[in-house]
Amino acid sequence: MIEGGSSKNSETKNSDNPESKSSVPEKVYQELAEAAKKLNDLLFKGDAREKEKSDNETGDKKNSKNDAPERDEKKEISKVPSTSDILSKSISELMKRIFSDDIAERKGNASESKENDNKDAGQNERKDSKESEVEKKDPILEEIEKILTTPEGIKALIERHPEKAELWKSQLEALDTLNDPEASPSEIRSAQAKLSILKGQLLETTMKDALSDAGFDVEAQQRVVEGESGGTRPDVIAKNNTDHPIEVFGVEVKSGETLSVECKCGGSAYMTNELNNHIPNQLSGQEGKKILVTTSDIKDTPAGAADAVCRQYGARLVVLDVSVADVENAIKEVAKS
Amino acid sequence: MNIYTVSDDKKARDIMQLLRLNAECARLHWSRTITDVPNDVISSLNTIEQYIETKVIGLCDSKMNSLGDEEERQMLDMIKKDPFIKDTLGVGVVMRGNQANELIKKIKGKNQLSKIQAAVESGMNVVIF
Repeated sequence: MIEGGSSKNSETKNSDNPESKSSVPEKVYQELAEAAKKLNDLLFKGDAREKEKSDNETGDKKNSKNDAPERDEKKEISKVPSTSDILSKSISELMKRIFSDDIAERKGNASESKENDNKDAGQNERKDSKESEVEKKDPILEEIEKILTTPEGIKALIERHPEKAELWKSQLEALDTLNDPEASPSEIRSAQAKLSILKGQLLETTMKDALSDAGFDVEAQQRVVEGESGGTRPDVIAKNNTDHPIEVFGVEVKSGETLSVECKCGGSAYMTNELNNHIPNQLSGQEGKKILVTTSDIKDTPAGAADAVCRQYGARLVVLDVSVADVENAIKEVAKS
Repeated sequence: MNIYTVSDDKKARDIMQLLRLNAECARLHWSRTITDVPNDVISSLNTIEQYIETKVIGLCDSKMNSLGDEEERQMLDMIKKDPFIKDTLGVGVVMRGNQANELIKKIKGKNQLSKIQAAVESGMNVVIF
Protein backbone atom coordinates (compact mmCIF):
# COMPACT_ATOMS: atom_id res chain seq x y z
CA MET A 1 0.00 0.00 0.00
CA ILE A 2 2.73 2.35 1.02
CA GLU A 3 4.56 1.37 -2.04
CA GLY A 4 1.49 1.75 -4.20
CA GLY A 5 0.64 5.00 -2.50
CA SER A 6 4.10 6.18 -2.92
CA SER A 7 4.04 5.06 -6.51
CA LYS A 8 0.78 6.94 -6.98
CA ASN A 9 2.31 9.91 -5.36
CA SER A 10 5.30 9.61 -7.50
CA GLU A 11 3.08 9.23 -10.55
CA THR A 12 1.24 12.35 -9.59
CA LYS A 13 4.50 14.01 -9.13
CA ASN A 14 5.69 12.75 -12.44
CA SER A 15 2.58 13.87 -14.15
CA ASP A 16 2.83 17.20 -12.41
CA ASN A 17 6.44 17.69 -13.08
CA PRO A 18 6.34 18.03 -16.82
CA GLU A 19 3.64 20.61 -16.40
CA SER A 20 5.47 22.51 -13.83
CA LYS A 21 8.56 22.38 -15.95
CA SER A 22 6.75 22.94 -19.22
CA SER A 23 6.91 26.28 -20.90
CA VAL A 24 3.94 28.65 -21.04
CA PRO A 25 2.91 27.82 -24.64
CA GLU A 26 2.94 24.09 -23.85
CA LYS A 27 0.65 24.72 -20.88
CA VAL A 28 -1.68 26.74 -23.00
CA TYR A 29 -1.62 24.03 -25.63
CA GLN A 30 -2.50 21.36 -23.09
CA GLU A 31 -5.31 23.46 -21.67
CA LEU A 32 -6.67 24.10 -25.14
CA ALA A 33 -6.38 20.43 -26.00
CA GLU A 34 -8.38 19.55 -22.88
CA ALA A 35 -10.96 22.17 -23.74
CA ALA A 36 -11.14 20.77 -27.25
CA LYS A 37 -11.76 17.28 -25.84
CA LYS A 38 -14.51 18.56 -23.57
CA LEU A 39 -16.05 20.37 -26.51
CA ASN A 40 -15.92 17.20 -28.57
CA ASP A 41 -17.54 15.25 -25.74
CA LEU A 42 -20.37 17.72 -25.53
CA LEU A 43 -20.86 17.98 -29.24
CA PHE A 44 -20.56 14.35 -30.11
CA LYS A 45 -21.92 12.74 -26.91
CA GLY A 46 -24.91 11.52 -28.86
CA ASP A 47 -22.70 9.85 -31.40
CA ALA A 48 -20.82 8.16 -28.63
CA ARG A 49 -24.04 6.92 -26.98
CA GLU A 50 -25.32 5.61 -30.30
CA LYS A 51 -22.05 3.94 -30.79
CA GLU A 52 -22.26 2.44 -27.31
CA LYS A 53 -25.73 1.27 -28.09
CA SER A 54 -24.78 -0.35 -31.31
CA ASP A 55 -21.78 -1.78 -29.57
CA ASN A 56 -23.95 -3.24 -26.89
CA GLU A 57 -26.31 -4.60 -29.47
CA THR A 58 -23.52 -6.15 -31.40
CA GLY A 59 -22.07 -7.31 -28.15
CA ASP A 60 -25.32 -8.90 -27.13
CA LYS A 61 -25.46 -10.65 -30.42
CA LYS A 62 -21.92 -11.71 -30.14
CA ASN A 63 -22.14 -12.55 -26.49
CA SER A 64 -24.56 -15.12 -27.43
CA LYS A 65 -22.02 -16.58 -29.70
CA ASN A 66 -18.68 -16.35 -27.95
CA ASP A 67 -17.04 -14.15 -25.38
CA ALA A 68 -13.61 -14.23 -26.75
CA PRO A 69 -14.47 -13.10 -30.26
CA GLU A 70 -16.56 -10.39 -28.69
CA ARG A 71 -13.52 -8.93 -27.00
CA ASP A 72 -11.67 -9.09 -30.28
CA GLU A 73 -14.49 -7.37 -32.10
CA LYS A 74 -14.69 -4.75 -29.36
CA LYS A 75 -11.06 -4.17 -29.88
CA GLU A 76 -11.62 -3.85 -33.59
CA ILE A 77 -14.54 -1.49 -33.13
CA SER A 78 -12.63 0.60 -30.67
CA LYS A 79 -9.94 0.85 -33.32
CA VAL A 80 -12.40 2.50 -35.72
CA PRO A 81 -12.21 6.22 -35.05
CA SER A 82 -15.43 7.98 -34.18
CA THR A 83 -16.38 11.41 -35.59
CA SER A 84 -15.54 12.96 -32.24
CA ASP A 85 -12.14 11.26 -32.22
CA ILE A 86 -11.47 12.47 -35.73
CA LEU A 87 -12.50 16.00 -34.88
CA SER A 88 -10.60 15.91 -31.61
CA LYS A 89 -7.56 14.73 -33.46
CA SER A 90 -8.03 17.41 -36.07
CA ILE A 91 -8.32 20.09 -33.42
CA SER A 92 -5.27 18.70 -31.65
CA GLU A 93 -3.31 18.71 -34.87
CA LEU A 94 -4.55 22.19 -35.58
CA MET A 95 -3.41 23.29 -32.14
CA LYS A 96 -0.07 21.61 -32.67
CA ARG A 97 0.28 23.35 -35.97
CA ILE A 98 -0.65 26.69 -34.47
CA PHE A 99 1.83 26.25 -31.67
CA SER A 100 4.47 24.62 -33.76
CA ASP A 101 4.24 27.67 -36.03
CA ASP A 102 4.48 29.84 -32.99
CA ILE A 103 7.43 27.88 -31.66
CA ALA A 104 9.01 27.78 -35.07
CA GLU A 105 8.47 31.48 -35.32
CA ARG A 106 10.01 31.97 -31.94
CA LYS A 107 12.84 29.66 -32.88
CA GLY A 108 13.16 31.55 -36.13
CA ASN A 109 13.14 34.81 -34.27
CA ALA A 110 15.79 33.53 -31.95
CA SER A 111 17.95 32.33 -34.78
CA GLU A 112 17.15 35.47 -36.68
CA SER A 113 18.18 37.61 -33.74
CA LYS A 114 21.29 35.47 -33.44
CA GLU A 115 21.88 35.97 -37.12
CA ASN A 116 21.26 39.65 -36.66
CA ASP A 117 23.70 39.67 -33.77
CA ASN A 118 26.21 37.87 -35.95
CA LYS A 119 25.43 40.24 -38.78
CA ASP A 120 25.90 43.17 -36.43
CA ALA A 121 29.15 41.69 -35.17
CA GLY A 122 30.22 41.04 -38.73
CA GLN A 123 29.27 44.55 -39.71
CA ASN A 124 31.18 45.90 -36.72
CA GLU A 125 34.17 43.79 -37.66
CA ARG A 126 33.93 44.98 -41.22
CA LYS A 127 33.51 48.50 -39.92
CA ASP A 128 36.60 48.07 -37.74
CA SER A 129 38.60 46.56 -40.55
CA LYS A 130 37.31 49.31 -42.81
CA GLU A 131 38.41 51.87 -40.29
CA SER A 132 41.84 50.34 -40.02
CA GLU A 133 41.89 50.09 -43.80
CA VAL A 134 41.09 53.76 -43.99
CA GLU A 135 43.89 54.38 -41.59
CA LYS A 136 46.26 52.26 -43.63
CA LYS A 137 45.08 53.60 -46.93
CA ASP A 138 45.39 57.21 -45.90
CA PRO A 139 46.74 58.71 -49.14
CA ILE A 140 49.27 60.85 -47.25
CA LEU A 141 50.62 57.79 -45.45
CA GLU A 142 50.73 55.85 -48.71
CA GLU A 143 52.76 58.61 -50.30
CA ILE A 144 55.16 58.75 -47.35
CA GLU A 145 55.61 54.98 -47.48
CA LYS A 146 56.27 55.09 -51.21
CA ILE A 147 58.93 57.78 -50.83
CA LEU A 148 60.74 56.02 -48.00
CA THR A 149 60.82 52.54 -49.48
CA THR A 150 61.84 53.18 -53.05
CA PRO A 151 65.14 54.52 -54.40
CA GLU A 152 63.11 56.67 -56.79
CA GLY A 153 61.17 58.13 -53.88
CA ILE A 154 64.30 59.01 -51.92
CA LYS A 155 65.96 60.46 -55.02
CA ALA A 156 62.89 62.62 -55.66
CA LEU A 157 62.97 63.77 -52.04
CA ILE A 158 66.63 64.74 -52.37
CA GLU A 159 65.81 66.67 -55.55
CA ARG A 160 62.96 68.46 -53.81
CA HIS A 161 65.37 69.63 -51.10
CA PRO A 162 68.52 70.95 -52.72
CA GLU A 163 69.38 72.69 -49.44
CA LYS A 164 69.90 69.27 -47.87
CA ALA A 165 71.42 67.54 -50.87
CA GLU A 166 75.02 68.01 -49.76
CA LEU A 167 74.38 66.78 -46.22
CA TRP A 168 72.48 63.75 -47.43
CA LYS A 169 75.11 63.01 -50.03
CA SER A 170 77.83 62.93 -47.37
CA GLN A 171 75.63 60.71 -45.20
CA LEU A 172 75.11 58.35 -48.12
CA GLU A 173 78.87 58.18 -48.58
CA ALA A 174 79.05 56.65 -45.11
CA LEU A 175 78.01 53.46 -46.86
CA ASP A 176 81.42 53.40 -48.54
CA THR A 177 83.08 53.36 -45.13
CA LEU A 178 80.82 50.55 -43.94
CA ASN A 179 81.92 48.54 -46.96
CA ASP A 180 85.61 49.31 -46.51
CA PRO A 181 87.31 46.22 -45.06
CA GLU A 182 90.08 48.42 -43.66
CA ALA A 183 87.72 50.70 -41.75
CA SER A 184 88.30 50.83 -37.99
CA PRO A 185 85.50 50.46 -35.40
CA SER A 186 85.48 54.23 -34.83
CA GLU A 187 85.10 54.93 -38.55
CA ILE A 188 82.32 52.36 -38.69
CA ARG A 189 80.64 53.90 -35.67
CA SER A 190 80.80 57.34 -37.25
CA ALA A 191 79.30 56.04 -40.52
CA GLN A 192 76.63 54.16 -38.63
CA ALA A 193 75.60 57.32 -36.78
CA LYS A 194 75.40 59.24 -40.05
CA LEU A 195 73.08 56.69 -41.59
CA SER A 196 70.97 56.64 -38.46
CA ILE A 197 70.58 60.41 -38.71
CA LEU A 198 69.83 60.10 -42.41
CA LYS A 199 66.97 57.65 -41.79
CA GLY A 200 65.41 60.00 -39.27
CA GLN A 201 65.82 63.01 -41.51
CA LEU A 202 64.25 61.28 -44.48
CA LEU A 203 61.14 60.45 -42.47
CA GLU A 204 61.03 63.87 -40.89
CA THR A 205 61.40 65.71 -44.20
CA THR A 206 58.85 63.50 -45.90
CA MET A 207 56.43 64.24 -43.08
CA LYS A 208 57.05 67.98 -43.35
CA ASP A 209 56.42 67.88 -47.09
CA ALA A 210 53.24 65.85 -46.62
CA LEU A 211 51.86 68.27 -44.04
CA SER A 212 52.83 71.23 -46.16
CA ASP A 213 51.04 69.67 -49.14
CA ALA A 214 48.01 69.11 -46.90
CA GLY A 215 47.80 72.85 -46.26
CA PHE A 216 49.82 73.38 -43.09
CA ASP A 217 52.46 76.03 -42.55
CA VAL A 218 55.42 73.98 -41.39
CA GLU A 219 58.13 75.58 -39.29
CA ALA A 220 61.40 75.35 -41.21
CA GLN A 221 63.69 75.35 -38.20
CA GLN A 222 63.43 73.11 -35.19
CA ARG A 223 63.00 74.94 -31.91
CA VAL A 224 63.30 73.98 -28.30
CA VAL A 225 60.16 73.39 -26.29
CA GLU A 226 59.98 72.47 -22.64
CA GLY A 227 59.23 68.82 -21.88
CA GLU A 228 58.49 67.34 -18.47
CA SER A 229 62.13 66.41 -17.97
CA GLY A 230 63.93 69.03 -20.02
CA GLY A 231 64.09 70.83 -23.33
CA THR A 232 63.27 68.96 -26.53
CA ARG A 233 63.03 69.81 -30.22
CA PRO A 234 59.89 68.46 -31.87
CA ASP A 235 60.65 67.05 -35.32
CA VAL A 236 57.74 68.84 -36.96
CA ILE A 237 55.67 71.81 -35.83
CA ALA A 238 52.92 72.72 -38.26
CA LYS A 239 50.17 75.30 -37.99
CA ASN A 240 46.82 75.38 -39.70
CA ASN A 241 46.67 78.97 -40.91
CA THR A 242 43.79 78.27 -43.25
CA ASP A 243 40.19 79.18 -42.42
CA HIS A 244 39.07 75.57 -42.37
CA PRO A 245 39.97 72.47 -40.37
CA ILE A 246 42.50 70.04 -41.86
CA GLU A 247 42.38 66.33 -41.12
CA VAL A 248 45.54 64.27 -41.27
CA PHE A 249 46.06 60.71 -40.03
CA GLY A 250 42.64 60.82 -38.38
CA VAL A 251 43.44 63.98 -36.42
CA GLU A 252 41.43 67.10 -37.07
CA VAL A 253 43.40 70.30 -36.71
CA LYS A 254 41.17 73.33 -36.50
CA SER A 255 41.94 76.69 -38.03
CA GLY A 256 44.66 78.40 -35.99
CA GLU A 257 45.63 75.16 -34.21
CA THR A 258 49.13 73.67 -34.09
CA LEU A 259 50.12 70.09 -34.89
CA SER A 260 53.33 68.61 -33.48
CA VAL A 261 54.84 65.43 -34.84
CA GLU A 262 57.60 63.21 -33.50
CA CYS A 263 59.12 60.84 -36.09
CA LYS A 264 60.86 57.58 -35.23
CA CYS A 265 62.57 55.42 -37.83
CA GLY A 266 64.43 52.49 -36.28
CA GLY A 267 64.43 48.89 -35.11
CA SER A 268 62.36 47.52 -32.26
CA ALA A 269 65.21 47.79 -29.74
CA TYR A 270 65.66 51.43 -30.70
CA MET A 271 61.91 52.01 -30.40
CA THR A 272 61.81 50.37 -26.95
CA ASN A 273 64.68 52.55 -25.80
CA GLU A 274 63.00 55.65 -27.19
CA LEU A 275 59.68 54.75 -25.56
CA ASN A 276 61.40 54.36 -22.22
CA ASN A 277 63.75 57.30 -22.34
CA HIS A 278 62.86 59.99 -24.85
CA ILE A 279 59.35 59.80 -26.26
CA PRO A 280 57.57 60.67 -22.96
CA ASN A 281 59.56 63.88 -22.66
CA GLN A 282 59.17 64.66 -26.36
CA LEU A 283 55.39 64.14 -26.33
CA SER A 284 54.98 66.06 -23.09
CA GLY A 285 56.61 69.07 -24.72
CA GLN A 286 54.66 68.95 -27.98
CA GLU A 287 52.26 71.79 -28.71
CA GLY A 288 48.68 71.50 -29.92
CA LYS A 289 47.56 68.23 -31.45
CA LYS A 290 50.20 65.54 -31.00
CA ILE A 291 51.26 62.73 -33.30
CA LEU A 292 53.92 60.05 -32.98
CA VAL A 293 54.82 58.57 -36.38
CA THR A 294 56.92 55.43 -36.42
CA THR A 295 58.07 52.65 -38.69
CA SER A 296 56.31 49.32 -38.22
CA ASP A 297 59.10 48.12 -35.93
CA ILE A 298 57.21 49.65 -33.00
CA LYS A 299 54.85 46.67 -33.22
CA ASP A 300 57.66 44.51 -31.84
CA THR A 301 58.09 46.59 -28.70
CA PRO A 302 56.55 45.31 -25.43
CA ALA A 303 52.78 44.98 -25.87
CA GLY A 304 50.86 48.15 -25.20
CA ALA A 305 53.92 50.26 -24.42
CA ALA A 306 53.54 52.66 -27.34
CA ASP A 307 49.77 52.96 -26.87
CA ALA A 308 50.19 53.63 -23.17
CA VAL A 309 52.74 56.40 -23.73
CA CYS A 310 50.60 58.02 -26.43
CA ARG A 311 47.49 57.76 -24.28
CA GLN A 312 49.29 59.33 -21.35
CA TYR A 313 50.26 62.39 -23.37
CA GLY A 314 47.18 62.57 -25.57
CA ALA A 315 49.08 61.79 -28.76
CA ARG A 316 47.94 59.75 -31.74
CA LEU A 317 50.16 56.85 -32.76
CA VAL A 318 50.55 56.53 -36.51
CA VAL A 319 52.38 53.38 -37.58
CA LEU A 320 53.69 53.25 -41.12
CA ASP A 321 53.41 50.03 -43.05
CA VAL A 322 57.16 50.21 -43.55
CA SER A 323 59.98 48.71 -41.51
CA VAL A 324 63.34 50.29 -40.92
CA ALA A 325 64.85 47.48 -43.01
CA ASP A 326 62.69 48.62 -45.96
CA VAL A 327 64.03 52.16 -45.60
CA GLU A 328 67.61 50.92 -45.28
CA ASN A 329 67.27 48.79 -48.39
CA ALA A 330 66.08 51.82 -50.36
CA ILE A 331 68.99 53.89 -48.99
CA LYS A 332 71.44 51.17 -50.08
CA GLU A 333 69.99 51.30 -53.60
CA VAL A 334 70.28 55.09 -53.72
CA ALA A 335 73.89 54.98 -52.51
CA LYS A 336 74.73 52.43 -55.24
CA SER A 337 73.70 54.75 -58.04
CA MET B 1 80.67 61.16 -31.44
CA ASN B 2 80.99 61.43 -27.69
CA ILE B 3 83.95 61.15 -25.33
CA TYR B 4 83.37 58.98 -22.26
CA THR B 5 85.67 58.04 -19.39
CA VAL B 6 85.84 54.73 -17.54
CA SER B 7 88.04 54.09 -14.54
CA ASP B 8 87.79 50.27 -14.52
CA ASP B 9 90.34 48.66 -16.89
CA LYS B 10 88.28 45.48 -17.25
CA LYS B 11 85.23 47.47 -18.26
CA ALA B 12 87.38 49.34 -20.78
CA ARG B 13 88.44 46.02 -22.34
CA ASP B 14 84.82 44.81 -22.39
CA ILE B 15 83.90 47.98 -24.22
CA MET B 16 86.67 47.30 -26.75
CA GLN B 17 85.14 43.89 -27.48
CA LEU B 18 81.67 45.37 -27.81
CA LEU B 19 82.89 48.05 -30.24
CA ARG B 20 84.52 45.40 -32.45
CA LEU B 21 81.30 43.39 -32.48
CA ASN B 22 79.33 46.51 -33.30
CA ALA B 23 81.60 47.18 -36.27
CA GLU B 24 81.12 43.66 -37.63
CA CYS B 25 77.34 43.84 -37.21
CA ALA B 26 77.21 47.21 -38.98
CA ARG B 27 79.34 45.87 -41.86
CA LEU B 28 76.93 43.04 -42.50
CA HIS B 29 73.93 45.30 -41.88
CA TRP B 30 75.01 47.69 -44.64
CA SER B 31 76.93 45.27 -46.84
CA ARG B 32 76.82 45.82 -50.59
CA THR B 33 78.34 42.43 -51.34
CA ILE B 34 76.08 40.30 -49.16
CA THR B 35 72.83 41.59 -50.58
CA ASP B 36 70.38 38.85 -49.66
CA VAL B 37 70.35 39.45 -45.91
CA PRO B 38 66.75 38.76 -44.83
CA ASN B 39 64.85 41.46 -42.97
CA ASP B 40 64.69 39.41 -39.78
CA VAL B 41 68.49 39.16 -39.76
CA ILE B 42 68.74 42.91 -40.36
CA SER B 43 66.33 43.35 -37.49
CA SER B 44 68.54 41.16 -35.27
CA LEU B 45 71.59 43.17 -36.25
CA ASN B 46 69.71 46.31 -35.30
CA THR B 47 68.94 44.74 -31.93
CA ILE B 48 72.59 43.84 -31.29
CA GLU B 49 73.75 47.30 -32.33
CA GLN B 50 71.18 48.91 -30.04
CA TYR B 51 72.22 46.62 -27.20
CA ILE B 52 75.87 47.53 -27.67
CA GLU B 53 75.06 51.23 -27.67
CA THR B 54 73.15 50.94 -24.41
CA LYS B 55 75.72 48.61 -22.84
CA VAL B 56 78.73 50.71 -23.73
CA ILE B 57 77.17 53.88 -22.35
CA GLY B 58 76.16 51.92 -19.26
CA LEU B 59 79.69 50.63 -18.67
CA CYS B 60 81.21 54.10 -18.90
CA ASP B 61 81.51 56.26 -15.80
CA SER B 62 80.54 59.53 -17.43
CA LYS B 63 80.25 61.46 -20.66
CA MET B 64 83.01 63.99 -20.77
CA ASN B 65 82.41 65.81 -24.03
CA SER B 66 81.10 65.66 -27.60
CA LEU B 67 83.07 65.99 -30.83
CA GLY B 68 81.90 68.53 -33.35
CA ASP B 69 81.74 67.63 -37.03
CA GLU B 70 85.13 69.13 -37.78
CA GLU B 71 86.77 67.53 -34.74
CA GLU B 72 85.37 64.18 -35.75
CA ARG B 73 86.55 64.61 -39.32
CA GLN B 74 90.09 65.38 -38.18
CA MET B 75 90.16 62.40 -35.82
CA LEU B 76 89.00 60.11 -38.63
CA ASP B 77 91.69 61.55 -40.92
CA MET B 78 94.39 60.78 -38.36
CA ILE B 79 93.06 57.28 -37.83
CA LYS B 80 93.54 56.65 -41.55
CA LYS B 81 97.08 58.02 -41.59
CA ASP B 82 98.66 56.79 -38.37
CA PRO B 83 98.67 53.08 -37.44
CA PHE B 84 99.13 53.84 -33.72
CA ILE B 85 96.15 56.19 -33.72
CA LYS B 86 94.20 53.56 -35.63
CA ASP B 87 94.97 51.05 -32.83
CA THR B 88 93.81 53.46 -30.14
CA LEU B 89 91.29 56.07 -31.25
CA GLY B 90 90.39 53.82 -34.18
CA VAL B 91 89.42 50.98 -31.85
CA GLY B 92 87.49 53.49 -29.78
CA VAL B 93 89.24 52.86 -26.47
CA VAL B 94 92.44 54.49 -25.18
CA MET B 95 93.82 52.63 -22.18
CA ARG B 96 95.36 54.78 -19.49
CA GLY B 97 99.14 54.51 -18.88
CA ASN B 98 101.63 53.95 -21.66
CA GLN B 99 99.06 53.94 -24.45
CA ALA B 100 97.56 57.21 -23.26
CA ASN B 101 100.99 58.82 -22.90
CA GLU B 102 102.02 57.76 -26.42
CA LEU B 103 98.79 59.11 -27.89
CA ILE B 104 99.19 62.46 -26.16
CA LYS B 105 102.55 62.87 -27.91
CA LYS B 106 100.88 62.22 -31.28
CA ILE B 107 97.91 64.56 -30.93
CA LYS B 108 99.48 67.35 -28.88
CA GLY B 109 99.11 70.72 -30.56
CA LYS B 110 96.29 69.65 -32.85
CA ASN B 111 93.53 72.07 -31.93
CA GLN B 112 90.73 69.95 -33.31
CA LEU B 113 91.70 67.10 -31.00
CA SER B 114 92.03 69.14 -27.82
CA LYS B 115 88.92 67.59 -26.26
CA ILE B 116 90.33 64.11 -26.77
CA GLN B 117 93.70 65.21 -25.40
CA ALA B 118 92.03 66.59 -22.27
CA ALA B 119 90.17 63.33 -21.74
CA VAL B 120 93.29 61.18 -22.18
CA GLU B 121 95.27 63.44 -19.84
CA SER B 122 92.64 62.94 -17.12
CA GLY B 123 94.29 59.63 -16.20
CA MET B 124 91.15 57.63 -17.00
CA ASN B 125 90.51 55.16 -19.79
CA VAL B 126 88.86 57.00 -22.64
CA VAL B 127 86.07 55.73 -24.91
CA ILE B 128 85.19 57.43 -28.19
CA PHE B 129 81.70 56.33 -29.19
